[in-house]
Amino acid sequence: MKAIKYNKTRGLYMEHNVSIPEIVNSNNVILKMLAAGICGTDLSVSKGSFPVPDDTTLGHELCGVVHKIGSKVKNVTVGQRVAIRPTKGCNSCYFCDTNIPNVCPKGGIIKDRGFGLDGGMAQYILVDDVDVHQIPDDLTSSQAVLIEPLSCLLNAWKISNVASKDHSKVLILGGGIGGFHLLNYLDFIEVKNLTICQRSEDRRKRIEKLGYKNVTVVSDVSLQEEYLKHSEDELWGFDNIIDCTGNPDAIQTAYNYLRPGGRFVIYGCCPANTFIKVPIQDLTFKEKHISGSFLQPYTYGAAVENIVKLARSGRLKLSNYGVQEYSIDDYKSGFADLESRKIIKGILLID
Amino acid sequence: MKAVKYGSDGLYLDRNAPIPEFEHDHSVIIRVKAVGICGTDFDIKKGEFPVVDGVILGHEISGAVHKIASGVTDFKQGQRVAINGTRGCTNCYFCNVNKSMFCSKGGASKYYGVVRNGGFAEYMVVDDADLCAIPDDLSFQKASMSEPMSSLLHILDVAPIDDKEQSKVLIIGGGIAGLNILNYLNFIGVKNITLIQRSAHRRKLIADMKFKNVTVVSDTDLHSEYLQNSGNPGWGFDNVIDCSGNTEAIANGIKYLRPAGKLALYGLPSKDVSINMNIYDLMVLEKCITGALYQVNNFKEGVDVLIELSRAGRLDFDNYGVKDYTLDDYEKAFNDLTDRKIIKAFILPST
Repeated sequence: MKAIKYNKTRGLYMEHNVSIPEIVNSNNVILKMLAAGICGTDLSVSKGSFPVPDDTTLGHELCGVVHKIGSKVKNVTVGQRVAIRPTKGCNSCYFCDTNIPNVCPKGGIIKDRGFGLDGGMAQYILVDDVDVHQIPDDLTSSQAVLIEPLSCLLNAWKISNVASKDHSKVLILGGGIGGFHLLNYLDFIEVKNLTICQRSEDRRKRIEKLGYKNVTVVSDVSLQEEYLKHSEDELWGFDNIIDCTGNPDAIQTAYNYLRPGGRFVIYGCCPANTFIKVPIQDLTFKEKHISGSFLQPYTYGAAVENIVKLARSGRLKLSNYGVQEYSIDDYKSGFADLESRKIIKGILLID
Repeated sequence: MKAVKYGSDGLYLDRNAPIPEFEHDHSVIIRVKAVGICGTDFDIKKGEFPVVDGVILGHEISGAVHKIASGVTDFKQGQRVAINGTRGCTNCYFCNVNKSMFCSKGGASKYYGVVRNGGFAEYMVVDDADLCAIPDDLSFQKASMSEPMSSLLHILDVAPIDDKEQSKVLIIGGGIAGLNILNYLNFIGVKNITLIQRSAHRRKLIADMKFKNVTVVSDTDLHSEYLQNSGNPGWGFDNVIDCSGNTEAIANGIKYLRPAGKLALYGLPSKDVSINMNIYDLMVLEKCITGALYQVNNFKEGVDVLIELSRAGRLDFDNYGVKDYTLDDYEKAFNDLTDRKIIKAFILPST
């Protein structure tokens, strides 16, 4: 079968003769892949700034059709279309016990399909029964690809611990797929004071055209001007900031935009070994929080439900959002268009 | 009356301070009976913690009701009380989202002993809503610890210990604050507590207190352990509480966190100091760093906990090395603390 892989010497490449996976355990499910999203992190992998073992098949935002099932599989049958959760914990350590399997040292990223295990930018993938969720017929495979990123964003939102949907001031840094997807969801659940900061004018225009009622779209330049204008105003700023840029400079600057008691969630993937300077007296005096958010702990099911709701309420028209589909053979265009920011997300159609 | 004040040249005793008067019909004049000296008072002395010039210090306060204004119905003359120095207005955004210390009308902006005149004086004026009645079997000295006790409880609100049996907790610093936290966490049954204390003398003092389930280590020994375990993703702490304010200790505190661990900054770092924080590490391991300086809506809870500890014999001060001083002797009190002759000093202004 075909599969898109990465290794340090060759970079991103398509391997044509990969063996089709077989059922190994009685709870295994083999999917025939329909769609796999290209994520900002996949881009980082392809450039060598997010480490994965050599020759891993990429692809962690997945939708497929059940092809074969192990003898003990009860929740799906052959032919059903499903969304695929790429990672889980080991179920038997402190972290899994306390509901944070995403940081499980034996699960989490190590067993994340598309990073630590072979993923779904391929014609087939092997997973477990607990990893697959049925999706309704009115949800397209490409829309289903957006479930996994939403599951991670739901984690970031949970960690944000926003005090009041009506009164808390929320800033999303970055209007790529991460920031945009989050904005779309938060507006849907009626968070009232949303600001999104996006550097480039074309991406700002795309968001503005969608006409969200409670959303202010700003550039990094205008936001910094606002901050400087209000430098004496203790009450200016945001209660919650969620970084979706993965850009340490953006994060460093935006620290200043926190109000007292504000919480900053680092969701976007910065390159390994990057640092920011944290002014610790200010952090202590103003009781600010900085928290990381990584992958998803049991939020995948909620993400499935929410994607279906978003789609049915007309909020997932991918053509409006700068999301483009490519055939798997054209994967290089998908990665290149994402790199050049022509799109905010590429989806590989596989069947 | 006599009062110890802060001035640009340092602390001084004013023998002719005016006895305070009612400010409104809910004012209460307090005869101050005991006021604790806190680590923050040392920061104030050094000019590191900003206070109003000429303010009477002392924010850990207990006393007896001396006079009540016409609108006061809940308290009577002679009643024994503890005083909440940072009560919020209960009516603004911050008070409504449990961040009352940032209330613009109350909270830190009215802080007795920092912004408004505090308890290093024979009398002080407060609002009746700032008072909490205390039972006869709680000494004034112990009652004055309501303030640090309530801020201790607040740390546990902003950086909760998820599992008393399994969570690994590290306290950095075995001074007054660290010991209070150690004592309380041990009392409520947290099973895995480590405390870092640099000086061998203090380590011995704490070891002699014979807490069960507590390990006391030097900073160098813990750092060696950290380096030895660099390949072990399960090593580390789920909660680190810094009571030192020391930059290096705080930078190390982040490194000592396990995945999803939380670092709470309780000690006050120096002004204009930043730490270099690895932002990728924070994200991928879902770590959190948060300020945790004040009490928030938990003063009454602090009083209740203090009563419980006292009645369980867990506030036996002789073990800690504690002494009472008069207002005239305030300098000796500060010096004895600096020389580590004692761990805690109370000023009894009515003696």
